[in-house]
Amino acid sequence: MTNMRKFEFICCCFAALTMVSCGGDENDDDPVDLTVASSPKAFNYVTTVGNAAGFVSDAPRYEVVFDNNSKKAVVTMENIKLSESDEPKSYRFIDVPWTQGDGGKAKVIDVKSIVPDGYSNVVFDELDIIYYGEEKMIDNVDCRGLAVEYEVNGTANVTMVPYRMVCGGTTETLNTMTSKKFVSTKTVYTIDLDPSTMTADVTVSNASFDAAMPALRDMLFEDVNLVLSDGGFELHSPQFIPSIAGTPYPSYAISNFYVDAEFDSDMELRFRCMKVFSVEADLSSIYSPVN
Amino acid sequence: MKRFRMGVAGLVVTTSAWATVADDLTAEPDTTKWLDEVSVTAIKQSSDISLLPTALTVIGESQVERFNVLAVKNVSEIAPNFYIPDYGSRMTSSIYVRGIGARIDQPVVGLNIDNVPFLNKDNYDFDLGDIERVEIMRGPQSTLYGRNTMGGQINIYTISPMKYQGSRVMAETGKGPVMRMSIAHYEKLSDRLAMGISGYFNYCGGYFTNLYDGRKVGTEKSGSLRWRTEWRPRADLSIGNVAAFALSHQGGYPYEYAVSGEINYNDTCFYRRNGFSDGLTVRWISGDVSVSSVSSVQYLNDNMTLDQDFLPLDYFTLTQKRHEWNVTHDMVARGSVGNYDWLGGVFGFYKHTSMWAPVTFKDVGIRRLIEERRNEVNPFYPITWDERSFVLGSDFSCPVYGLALYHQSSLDFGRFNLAMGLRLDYEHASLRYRSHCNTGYTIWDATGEGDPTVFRKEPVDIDDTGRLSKSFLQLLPKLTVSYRLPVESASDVYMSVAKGYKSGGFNTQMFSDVLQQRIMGMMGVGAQYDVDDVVSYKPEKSWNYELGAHMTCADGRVRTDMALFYIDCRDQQLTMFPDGTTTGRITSNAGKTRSYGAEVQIGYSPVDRWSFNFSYGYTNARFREFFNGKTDYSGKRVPYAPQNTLFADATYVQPINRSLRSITFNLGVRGVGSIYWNEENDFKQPFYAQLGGEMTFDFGWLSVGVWGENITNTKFHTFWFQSIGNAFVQRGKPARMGATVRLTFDS
Repeated sequence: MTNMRKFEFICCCFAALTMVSCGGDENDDDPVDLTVASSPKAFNYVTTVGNAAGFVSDAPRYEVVFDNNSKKAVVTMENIKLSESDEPKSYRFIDVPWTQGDGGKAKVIDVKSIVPDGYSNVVFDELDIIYYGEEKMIDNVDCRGLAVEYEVNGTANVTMVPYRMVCGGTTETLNTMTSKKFVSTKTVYTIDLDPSTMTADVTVSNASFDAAMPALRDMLFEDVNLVLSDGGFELHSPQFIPSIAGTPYPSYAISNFYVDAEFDSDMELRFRCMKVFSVEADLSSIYSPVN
Repeated sequence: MKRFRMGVAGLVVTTSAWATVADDLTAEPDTTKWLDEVSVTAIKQSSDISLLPTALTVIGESQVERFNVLAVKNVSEIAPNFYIPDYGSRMTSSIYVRGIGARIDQPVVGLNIDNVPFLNKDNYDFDLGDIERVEIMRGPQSTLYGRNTMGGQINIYTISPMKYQGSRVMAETGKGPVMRMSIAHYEKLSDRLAMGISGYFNYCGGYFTNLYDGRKVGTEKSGSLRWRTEWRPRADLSIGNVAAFALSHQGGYPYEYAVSGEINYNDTCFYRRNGFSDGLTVRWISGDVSVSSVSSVQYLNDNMTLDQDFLPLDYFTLTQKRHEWNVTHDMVARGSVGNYDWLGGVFGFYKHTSMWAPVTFKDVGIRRLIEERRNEVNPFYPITWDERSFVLGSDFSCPVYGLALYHQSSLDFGRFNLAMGLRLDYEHASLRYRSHCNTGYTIWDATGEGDPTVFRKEPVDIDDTGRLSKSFLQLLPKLTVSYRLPVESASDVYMSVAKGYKSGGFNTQMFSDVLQQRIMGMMGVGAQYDVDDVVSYKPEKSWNYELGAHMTCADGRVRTDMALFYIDCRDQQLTMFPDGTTTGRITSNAGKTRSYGAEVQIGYSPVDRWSFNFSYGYTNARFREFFNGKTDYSGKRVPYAPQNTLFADATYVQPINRSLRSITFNLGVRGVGSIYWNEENDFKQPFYAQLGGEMTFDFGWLSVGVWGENITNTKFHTFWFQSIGNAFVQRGKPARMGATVRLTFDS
């Protein structure tokens, strides 16, 4: 738990205790058990009916307070624009039901037709939130996973897109000359998105494509083309020279670089290195560094 | 230096009925001299140590002289399964007992000299004149002696002025050349006060030559002074103090390149050490209760400077300068009630080490280990170092303190004895480090068609500081059951189960790797090390199961000691590669080993003029589990631990007349091996034996001996290691001859 959540918990406990001592009813006996999920630094990608291209809305804030006893959540959204001409608005939903997902590791909200507090003309046709709240260290970076996507009034589809994602998983490399495969679970890909230029930088940590390969520090794939979509994004680049410690490494030339990511599920990454090593990785794209 | 002489009866535990050589026929046997109330053995263990439920070898005074035991190294192989290879310098005392040993950091065998516990194994190897007795206990002694006694405990006692008064002079010369001199005087100033002072000097000219400059390597000049005081102000109170000062300077390390067989390196190598120690023992005895206090202070100041590559090329050099202070205190209370004996104690220590360990990279090292490795990965943007020599600096401050409580209870049931002991040992170690480097390199752009142009100049300015700390808490139990055999002479069989413990800590040698990887990382290559993961290591633990017997028969003329053992060692401190990578190395608790074997010691003196001694040890030590991140060594033999040790000798004393009292003839052999040098087990030293002999002319106050060591000039290696992919060995000393003169003026 974060310190804020602990403080809230303690306050709630103290409040519950005083109520008990004052002869409160039996429902106040259960201690309050809350999990608070906050969004990382992110932007919204919004698509609207009738517009071929979506637009980017900066600095939305999402907070979800999960009540672990009642299985209800309070969802707060701030600085939300549903069209480019709109003024930013805030929305709040109470008593939103949630369930455990992914074997108990995730908290999942999947509701339809929900109206935020104080609004009668705004209907969230779909509200999908997934939260991985356990402390997860990926390459020594403390991360949490939060994916938010929703559809409003049948016209706008909004996807929360973190500026930075830390993606771990399994990287399998095939040496096309020897047909030998090498698998690494240590390789981590940090993806930094820049919606203003529609490019991304991908930093590959613990790059290891072959058992005999010397250990390399972070490889940087710069200015890879970015394509945003509802619920995810793609990266692609036909060919480029990666750099390590600020120096280009032509001998590690990358070709056919491609990433296909869905925020609420897995990410697929592939490229070829040195024209010999064919790299494919199955990664998780939901984790971002804790601010 | 291994000194080998044939002694009368020095190898095995002897009993009060053991016969000694002609010049000792009327003297009290050595065992009675062991019952010294200021000895730590008597303080902590039964007065009849010949029946202790442990594998024990005692070398008494006459045997010390006949084998010329001057240092811990000289007892190698005399005790079965006890091996101390003679290589490198006085800093490299890697003791291997029953397959357990250590080349780095913490020792596996404890060492007490006149009750002073030496905490640092780098300070174990020095010559002592006038050793009275050496005790080697094999198997874990952790319950009574604490940390770092997983393999055993060595107790050395010098001559007590309360028991002997007189003057002694020894002068020796031999091939090397080797020259030794010692002079000592022991005097009783009153019935209650006695003092002894001794001095020792050693010179060795070196047995091998460095081809690079034609100079001898393995040279040494060393000396020591020792002042011992014993005071008994009252009948129930005894106070003993031993102050010692020692210094040594050794030149060069006789490591030869395995491929060429040559010792050939260009940079300076030496080891210099100064040390001081003082130990105060106070013992109060009242009836069946005794309380003893043993306090000590030690100071070590040494400097090891190495040509780290041992080649005639400018790769790199290492200097390790150290100042270290140790303070220890052990308080023991003992008593007995009927057939129940009890012992309880408190031990505390504080050790502080300051170390400076710079590694200097030189031209060839920069080119081959940095530039070429980096440019192989990125030939389009090659680098050149801005200097052809730079320093990786490492400074450390390492305070360690510990506290232990221990207890042992022993109960006699008729012929049976049951003893149980337990020690609670707490230790806290800290390391403050500073790694620094100030240099730089240039990155060139070689992608164009013309000459490479400067892409970027990159300074390397590192000044990292940090602090690590670890705490260790261990329970160290021991259980022994012994049965005194229904025979007239002292004989028993025993069974014991004991836990051994080697403390954890920090391997400061890894810091140069950490810093090197950091610099390589600045250039984009090299593993990223977490300092704590790379440098810290946890304690190593073992369980020792032993079955043994001590037998005396034929009116004490035959003495036999036997033991079977099994050791299960966990969290072994080993060098390995970090997870998932194939470069770099860290110290980690990565291994499990098991070791089993047998030992036998036999002493036989059919008549007073003849004596024979034999000891043999067999150890089968293998890894049960050890994956170093690259290779699985499970099932392989543990390196550096010998499979067999052998010692055998025969002595004959021929009386002559009143002037020339006797001539003593000694002949003996020491053997060890095979020894595997690496985890792969693809390099080894097969079993080898060295023959030695001596003829001593005894005139009473004067004795003259002529001796030979490794008479058949057996060729063997005592050590093997790898540096930057090259294998090096150290040759054993060649055949040598010499003479020793002793003068003894008893008061």
